[in-house]
Amino acid sequence: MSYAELHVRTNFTFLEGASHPGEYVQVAADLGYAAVAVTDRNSLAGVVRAYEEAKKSVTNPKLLVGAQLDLADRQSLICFPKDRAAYGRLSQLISLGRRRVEKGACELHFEDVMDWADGQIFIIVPPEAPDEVFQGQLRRWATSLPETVYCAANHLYRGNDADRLERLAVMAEAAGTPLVASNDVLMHTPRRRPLADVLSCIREGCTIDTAGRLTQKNAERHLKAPEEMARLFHGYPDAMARTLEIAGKISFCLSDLKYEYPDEVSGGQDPQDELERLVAKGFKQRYPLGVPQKVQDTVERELKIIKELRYAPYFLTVHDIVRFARSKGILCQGRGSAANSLVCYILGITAISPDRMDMVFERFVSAARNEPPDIDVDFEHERREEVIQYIYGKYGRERAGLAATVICYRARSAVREVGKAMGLSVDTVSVLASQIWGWSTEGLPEERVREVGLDPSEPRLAMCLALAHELHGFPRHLSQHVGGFIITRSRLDEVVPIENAAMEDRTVIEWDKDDLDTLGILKVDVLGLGMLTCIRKAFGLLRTHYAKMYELTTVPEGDSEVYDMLCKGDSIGVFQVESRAQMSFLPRMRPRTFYDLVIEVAIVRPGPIQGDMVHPYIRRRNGEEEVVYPSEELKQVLHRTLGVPLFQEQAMRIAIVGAGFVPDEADQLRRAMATFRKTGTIHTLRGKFIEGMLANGYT
Amino acid sequence: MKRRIVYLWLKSLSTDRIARRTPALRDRPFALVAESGNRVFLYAVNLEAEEVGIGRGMLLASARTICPELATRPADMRADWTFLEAIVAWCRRYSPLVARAGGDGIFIDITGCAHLFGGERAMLDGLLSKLRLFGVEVSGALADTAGAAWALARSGLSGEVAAPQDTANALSPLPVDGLRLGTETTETLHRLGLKTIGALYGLSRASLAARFGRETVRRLDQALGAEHEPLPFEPERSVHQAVVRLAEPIFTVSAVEACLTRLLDQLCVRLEKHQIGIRRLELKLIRVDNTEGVVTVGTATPNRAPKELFRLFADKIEKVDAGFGIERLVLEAAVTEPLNAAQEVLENDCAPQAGPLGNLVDRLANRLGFDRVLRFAPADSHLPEKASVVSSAAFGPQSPGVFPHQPVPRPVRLFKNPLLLHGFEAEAAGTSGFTARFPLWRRPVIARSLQGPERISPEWWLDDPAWRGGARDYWWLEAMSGERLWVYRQRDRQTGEKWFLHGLGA
Repeated sequence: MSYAELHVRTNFTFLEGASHPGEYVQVAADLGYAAVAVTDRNSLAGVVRAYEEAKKSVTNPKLLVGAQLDLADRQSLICFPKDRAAYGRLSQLISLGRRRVEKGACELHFEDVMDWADGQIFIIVPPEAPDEVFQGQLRRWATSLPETVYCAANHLYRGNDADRLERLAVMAEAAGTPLVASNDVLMHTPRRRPLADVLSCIREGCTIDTAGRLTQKNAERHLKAPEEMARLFHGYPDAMARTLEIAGKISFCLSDLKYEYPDEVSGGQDPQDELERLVAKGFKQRYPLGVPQKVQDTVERELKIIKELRYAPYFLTVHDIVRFARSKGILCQGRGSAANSLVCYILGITAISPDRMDMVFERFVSAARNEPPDIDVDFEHERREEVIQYIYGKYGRERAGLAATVICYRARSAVREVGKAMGLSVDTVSVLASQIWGWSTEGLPEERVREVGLDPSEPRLAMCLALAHELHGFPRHLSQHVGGFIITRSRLDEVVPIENAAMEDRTVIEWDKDDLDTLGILKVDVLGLGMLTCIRKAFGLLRTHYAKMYELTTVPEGDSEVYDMLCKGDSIGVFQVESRAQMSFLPRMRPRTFYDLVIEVAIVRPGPIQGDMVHPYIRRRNGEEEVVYPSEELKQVLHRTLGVPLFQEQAMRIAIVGAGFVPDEADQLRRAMATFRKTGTIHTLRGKFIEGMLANGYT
Repeated sequence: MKRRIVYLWLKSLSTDRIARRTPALRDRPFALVAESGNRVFLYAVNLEAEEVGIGRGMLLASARTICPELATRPADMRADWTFLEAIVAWCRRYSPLVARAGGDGIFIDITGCAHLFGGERAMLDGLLSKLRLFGVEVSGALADTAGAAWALARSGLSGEVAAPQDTANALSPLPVDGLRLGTETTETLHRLGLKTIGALYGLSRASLAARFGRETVRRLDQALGAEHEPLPFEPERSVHQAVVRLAEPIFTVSAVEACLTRLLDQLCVRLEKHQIGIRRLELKLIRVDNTEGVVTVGTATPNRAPKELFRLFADKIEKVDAGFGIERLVLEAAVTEPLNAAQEVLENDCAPQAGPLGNLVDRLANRLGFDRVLRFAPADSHLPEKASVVSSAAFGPQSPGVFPHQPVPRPVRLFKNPLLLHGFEAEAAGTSGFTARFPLWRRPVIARSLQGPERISPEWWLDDPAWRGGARDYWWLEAMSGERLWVYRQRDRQTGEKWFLHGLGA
């Protein structure tokens, strides 16, 4: 017995769906589904999350990408694009509806669906009580779009399901729209019913005690075993079989969204050649005295990887944006992992040569990872808009758009909203929310609750805490990313729906940066940094008052008065070292060189503090502890930080030098260390690391 | 005669209203909170809260940082208003002229009343101590003018009695804050060193008006009695009644009915002017020997249609003993409610105001008692026993609302305690050839068909003992005899499946 569920709303149908997209895929795999759909209300926001889960294993059910279209006249239908072209049309249809109205809403009409109906499969969702009006609507769909319209049927234990199914079957037969079994799924397991009810309460602004019939009558709207579905639809084997038939007709998969990056060069030129030409030009500026062999080798290796992965146009884009900013006198600075790339340095995107800092290119781009590189560029915050408008101007609004940020429930907002919905008093909710620092991944520990004078065994409170824990991480709405642009060769709205942002004149796509990563879509981060504005103004003041002309690259280094000031901890208003923790650390660290400051910034972070790196480093620096290295090779890696590993790059180097990792593996190790979620990989890497170290004679 | 006016300042009226009933909230910082948008701010605070530095209008979050143990209750402006109204009504024991002064004060014109209460001082002391005994924090003062009493009471001189004709002296040392001016003007006066009311006496009126506005002069004049200040005294709730005095005593029912018709017409015309409807009517029949018989009728909804009201008296008048004859009839609307004028129906001048159901309810209730006529009103729940509530037909809201559409009808009669069905097996439930035979109320029932199921899950947020068994599958069972039974199946881990009868169909 096999089955495909075609009507599934995830929690990207905000405040309605009660399960994450990935959870559906997991459960569908466990139940042995042939396919599972993700059909959020007028949205494709959740499909990438489901795809990420689905591609983890080849045995996972096929993921069907679709959307439930709710029209302005309250009709509802599910739309599945059969191929890439049809997907583009669905995406454009949703964009159309979303651009019409304010952020978050969508307005679509029958005619709009007609305009973009080519290549789609439609499943009409009948109302609770199908009547003559629905019969008319069904007939209208069937005659307008012959052969592609189906009618959904479900068995939700309403009491009259047998009659309703029969009625629908007659209507569907008359209209020529075959019946399709579905379960109108809202949650992946019946255990999510309480959360679904609480979401309804949050949506409608009521409490659970006053919600009444807004709550789910029963917990049937979950993914059911194919056998169970067959039992419910025992009189309608065709409707069951048709789910597979439809799933078979859909050949579209998100991997088809082979990302088409704009070429960045005109006249049939090869972007790689252009990039190499620019690099050659850059050599002259960066190394007027001749290029060292080591640099030459590194650049060649980098260019080879870039060529292999065909990222050349991306570098050209960033180069072009930076060039534009410089030409307008807008200060800008590349930062983050891009600093590991010598090519970025030579192109003028970053200011400091990675070989000076002993960095690893694989941290930036890695062939094994097959994830796009991430070049973050900071611009003066007051003039960032000029850069944004330049991008819009160059590529047009239909080809460039801002990435979204999925705003999720954090512990505090979750407990507030759930508390309100559960009817807890304002006082109790604030007390709970104030204990947020005590929330671990398991929720709020009982002692904490007792400490604030609440009884954790009180059923209502216990439920509230459990539900808040469940709600934690649920998407709440889409917001605009601080500056992540995505740029496409063809129309952007054929790749992903675009909607209005709260800000005027801004449009945002429906996916966030993780989604873009999953699909391998490149994004350029155009970030605003207030300090750059500050520096530009300082340059202006220097010019007017002292007639001194400075630029970022010509500011003199090593001014001892500046270091004296920092050693005293007098650093208010100094970017990066003005926090209270930094200020208390400065007098102990007593930085005297630029590299000291690099360490200063790196060391006052949760990682080194928790890893107890701070004190050994300080002791060694003050000569209270002998500086020893496990071996001569590792001395090369660790000598700049006195034998204490402080940087992620050093961790990578240790893995390469000490444990014989290849650079890509080292990057996996870094990522596994950096993120908590990929807990599985760290154990395998740990074994490999220890074995490698032992093999190389380290104990 | 010079006027004498008492001002009462109820400074923590809103918090007192709650604290009176909740002893736990006395003698500790306590505030009422109201929401505005997303922010929760303090609507009112009590004295203890003020002492620790918490003030009205503060955000709850900021107040909590000052005083974490601050107790809060939601504000209820309506209830505050009603509470003040009750105090105003109580104050009428001292004088018929009582006026509200804003949301937190009362003026009483006690001109010529003080001697009834042992003189002015004794009267004011008694008034204040009684109010404090009720749990209302009050400061009050007595003076020739409303303005002067206000200034005294608000300046911390509670219990002060300013001697007649001596207002100017009494006010002279008080701060200008007592003049009921805007905060801006008051601050300006302070800044200029004009800190007391007395300091203003010497200034020329023209420059005072030019500098600080007409209002300042007017308030000063009002306080000193140079300008009359009208106070919004509220008339006592008038009694709505109509009286017929007869030259000759009457004995017959028809004569009483004739009088009643006249009385009803009179009363209803008068009530219409005030847009008031009747909920309870008392007809007093006063006999020649000065004894009286009383007939009372009530209505479910406010009503002032004479013909409908007349019908309610129909059977009751006969029961009154006329004795030596009735010489006076008094008809009084004992309980009234606002009732707006409705469009009169032209073709039928006795169109029912309460609607046919309302009239039925009135007539039944007047016979059986108002607490005995009940009706079902829809309630918002999926659970069958919670989908309706039984309430008094007469006192509930006029329209009980509409029962929502159910995909499958709910039973006409719902049992309070579902009945366990022994010997009922429904393995093949839902299939066409289904039959089952089981005993019910000592007779066999042969089931012909089952329709369903409607699955209803318990309300997970409540621990309802009746629903501890988990989700129920409800079926309509049709018996050979034609009965329709609403049965449900419950799956029990220990005992397996159980069937219950929960209701009967029509």
